[in-house]
Amino acid sequence: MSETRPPMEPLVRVEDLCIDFGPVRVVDGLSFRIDAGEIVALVGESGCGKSVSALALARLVHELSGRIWFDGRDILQMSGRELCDLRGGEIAYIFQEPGSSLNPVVRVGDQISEALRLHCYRGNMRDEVIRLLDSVGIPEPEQRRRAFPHQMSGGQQQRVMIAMALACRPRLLVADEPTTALDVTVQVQILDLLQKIQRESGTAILLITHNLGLVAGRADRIYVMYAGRVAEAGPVASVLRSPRHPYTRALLKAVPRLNSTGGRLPGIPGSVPPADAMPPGCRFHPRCPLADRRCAEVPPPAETIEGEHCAACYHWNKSDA
Amino acid sequence: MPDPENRLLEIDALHVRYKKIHAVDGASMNVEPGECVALVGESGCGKTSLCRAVLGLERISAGRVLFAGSSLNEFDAGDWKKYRNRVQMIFQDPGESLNPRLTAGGMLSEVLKVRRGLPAPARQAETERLLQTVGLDPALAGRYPHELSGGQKQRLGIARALAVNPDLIIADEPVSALDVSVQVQILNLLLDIQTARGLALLLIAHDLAVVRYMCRRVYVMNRGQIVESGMAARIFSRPQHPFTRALLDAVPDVDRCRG
Repeated sequence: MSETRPPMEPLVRVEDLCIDFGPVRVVDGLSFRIDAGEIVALVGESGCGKSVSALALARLVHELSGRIWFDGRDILQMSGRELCDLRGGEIAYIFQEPGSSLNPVVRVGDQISEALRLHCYRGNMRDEVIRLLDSVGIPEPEQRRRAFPHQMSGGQQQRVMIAMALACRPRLLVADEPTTALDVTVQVQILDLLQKIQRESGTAILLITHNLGLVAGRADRIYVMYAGRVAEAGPVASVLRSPRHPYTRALLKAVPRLNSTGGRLPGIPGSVPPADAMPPGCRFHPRCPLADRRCAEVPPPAETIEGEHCAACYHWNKSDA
Repeated sequence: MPDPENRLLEIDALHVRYKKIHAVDGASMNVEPGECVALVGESGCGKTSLCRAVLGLERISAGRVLFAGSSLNEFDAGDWKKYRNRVQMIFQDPGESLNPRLTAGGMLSEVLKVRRGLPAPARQAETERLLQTVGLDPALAGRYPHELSGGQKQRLGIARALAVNPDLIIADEPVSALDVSVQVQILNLLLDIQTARGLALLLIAHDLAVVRYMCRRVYVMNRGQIVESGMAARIFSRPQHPFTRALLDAVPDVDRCRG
């Protein structure tokens, strides 16, 4: 999207990330990157491993293997001290339900100043809190900073979370389903706010969602995950306009549209396999209209389609209609 | 024009008040037999209070709710019992509306016993039939809710609602807690059942694209009042009320960059 060329080293580089929950491998060989200042979407259904992968970026998950670099530094080699600076300082998170992330018995302004204090902010705390609240669009920040979370609406609570996340001017903001619990009109406001932050302060954003509609027109690149692996990845426009993986295609067809003219939507047959009973080969093959014997035996590698657009499917070139 | 005599559900200037809060403020709407109608609005607009009043779970402060011509205000205990066999509810979060200590089969069997008074052998057969109707393998009858996926749980919730052969099902955000690929499966299931059984469906939703897919008529609710109503096709192409327009503008559009 931006005219400047991406720097040589991306802000985040993940290679062959595997995450285990005991005997169950929930993320299996995930690789992705986030360039400075871009919005990357990680899209998938519940249980596909998108949230744990995001937590892994700040080493908030234990049983992981693979490599993760943040700004050229290997986070798996970092000391506890360095990790403390990374978490909240350089990578900040906001989650789905702002109400359950905020402390219910502390005024929101104090919660924001706590984040500032922990990361050694030296200026005037009160002014900085007001500035932050103002920057995320809370009206009358001078008064509202004294409010408790329950005195705010869900949208305002999420704005407070964003203010807190931005307190230390992180280079990466991970937004994990930031609008799922909010009303549709509020959802748009929060997404607009995230986009404004990215544009004005150059903060990279990793947007995790199950809603392809949120990604369209907002993210630069997209990774579509299925059952712990990347099914398809590339520039958003390219992936949504000409999806190549049968899973992406099926998902796009399954989304109800406002301008639909009747006619039945095709669902995806079957359901996502449980993490402890993944099928061999391509994990989508039991639900895939194009699957053949090879799909059931050997997992397909990511095939480059055009530029950065790639899909992990042997049959990306075929039509499934 | 449909015959007003023939209305299944008629809500007439309904008010629901909680102390100082006026949750439903003179809302009127109706549902014909076998019709799929949507009630749309944001959280806090009063749509859940309206449904609870229709189900008899909330006191009607003023106004009337008529079901098949008789007013809920005048119901006695026997009327309520019959009424609850004719109106059923499907909830948003299937995980929280199913009894965690009953198996899928046990849950359905309980409804069949209490509501329809079926003897044990008939209950067994009917339970299997219900599970099949909603696309669940009868072998799942022995599973507890936590052993089912979200989509399976919602199917079970639908089976439980169908167990009493209702005339009207109120579905409160039935798919918003589900994954995209499962949402369509559940929506298609509801459509199939609705057509096959001639059921009326009152769908409460905030996702207008889902509403467009499911319903012929739409009511838009804001601050306790119905601000716009009519055929879905008309409302979606030419919304009159600013609130309806705001809702429509907020729908995320997958096709935005598909050109």
